[in-house]
Amino acid sequence: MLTLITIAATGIIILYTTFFKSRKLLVPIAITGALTALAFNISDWNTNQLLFNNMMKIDNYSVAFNSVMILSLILILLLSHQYFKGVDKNVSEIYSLLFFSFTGACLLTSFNNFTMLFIGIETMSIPLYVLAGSKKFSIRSNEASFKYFIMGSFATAIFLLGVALVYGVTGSFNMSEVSEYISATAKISSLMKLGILFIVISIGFKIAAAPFHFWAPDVYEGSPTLVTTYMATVVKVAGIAALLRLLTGCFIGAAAEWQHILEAFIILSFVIGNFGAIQQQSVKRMLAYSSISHTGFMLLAIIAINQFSASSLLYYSLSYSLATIAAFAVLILVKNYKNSDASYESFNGLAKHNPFLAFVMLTAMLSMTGIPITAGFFAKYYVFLASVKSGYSWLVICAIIAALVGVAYYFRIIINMYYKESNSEKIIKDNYFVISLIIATAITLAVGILPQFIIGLI
Amino acid sequence: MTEGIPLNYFLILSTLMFFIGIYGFLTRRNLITILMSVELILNSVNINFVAFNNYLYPDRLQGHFFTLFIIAVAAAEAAVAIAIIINIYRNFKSINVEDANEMKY
Repeated sequence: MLTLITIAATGIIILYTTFFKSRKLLVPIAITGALTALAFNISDWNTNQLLFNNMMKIDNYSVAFNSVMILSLILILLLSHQYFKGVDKNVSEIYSLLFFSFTGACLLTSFNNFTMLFIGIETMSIPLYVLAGSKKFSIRSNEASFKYFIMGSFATAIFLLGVALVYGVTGSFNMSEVSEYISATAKISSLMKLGILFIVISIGFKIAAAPFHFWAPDVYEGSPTLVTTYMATVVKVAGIAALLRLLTGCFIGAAAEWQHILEAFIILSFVIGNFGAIQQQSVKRMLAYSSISHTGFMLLAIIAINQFSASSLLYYSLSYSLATIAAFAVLILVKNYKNSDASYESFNGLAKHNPFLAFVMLTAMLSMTGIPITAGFFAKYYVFLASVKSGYSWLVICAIIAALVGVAYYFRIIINMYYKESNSEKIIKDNYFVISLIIATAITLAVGILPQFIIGLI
Repeated sequence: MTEGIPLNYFLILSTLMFFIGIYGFLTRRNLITILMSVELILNSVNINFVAFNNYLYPDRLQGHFFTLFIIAVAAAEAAVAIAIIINIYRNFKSINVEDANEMKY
């Protein structure tokens, strides 16, 4: 509760800094707000609260996922100082929009009612439509924001139709009441099935799962890179946490219905994500496609729907967020330095003059591939374990093949950094940036060596 | 007020509106018309909620309140959409979706 209030209040305070022309205070205020929210959030640990007439439920699940998202937010805020150096107008609005959008993301992990789920999705998405177009005079940014808006509002419409059908059958928006209704009826009516289908599809849109991924590469490429980082980490983790909460808390009795939908999502995510990523020449677009394939891995934890689902999903979200933030951070530097389109060639010879950046990128890529001692290995291991326990061995075999294909495009960057020559020089980066990179890399390695700290949490 | 009108009529009306909205969304090329189609879909869902509430669960007002939330959120969404469309018009000098195709794989 206090977490949400702190996040929203920080957004409003940041808006007021515009009046005082205190540009230097922006990042410190934002980070202080985020850290306070993190402290409040952790103090909610082991206190199961029901708020607002059972509209919201704060339990360990929501606290754990909120912590992962706030950590990603702090790392992104640390990157933003250097990123917005050249921009002189309307920077504080961008920060406050980030915070408002984050309020929605926090709602998505702790809802207990379809109303809250709807409000959470919309509070998260509407500021993001603006953020995607925040490079006002860039044609690509405009196009990205518009495409995101069209797809987002369409997904909302489908989501609402699904909720309407579920409401028509059960007469309630409360998750536990809907769950009781489903377990009490012997045969699930076709209206209910249709409702579940629509709701799952619309969340699939938000997390860019494969048949509904087509907006993702364009939006990720066109948006400012920092906003892309936010979309690829916080928004995806929030959406996928909401999906697991919805399916366990509400539609668990109808598991046979939605597991088929998720099977299709997973297989298509692997195929389209991997083959899309191999073909790309731009690293930013490659990361967009690879995030689609990571969605497939995360859905693998959800489809298993047993006691390992939540913890393995938490671990995967953490490792994926950290690796993605590190990769995008290095991409921001390389792209600005070379002033290029972020092709693979711009990474040539990075290790020679920027060994630190090359090392950060190396850990990020190894973690995404799933090589041991980085967090990515155990992330994939626990997800596979969870789905094997539920009898999805054939999906796990597909996932292992997908992970092997991933080597092709992740290692291309590593080879370019370490084995190709170019006349690059040392890239300038400020202290905030270095701190963010160090934290991301350190946690990736620490969690990779000692996975039981995270996996035993929920 | 709605005596003598069966629930099915409302559902047929809302289904028709929903599919007219989907059709407009898929076929129109003007950004404003696409926005209007989305609003049509949202309103068809509103009719669904209100009809279900009125006929099936008249003792509780949950469906009506959900409709109020949808209207408020749709207004916010429309405001953001118009801002985006104005910005696109400034840069592309057109609000046709086919002109906004800078990015291709």
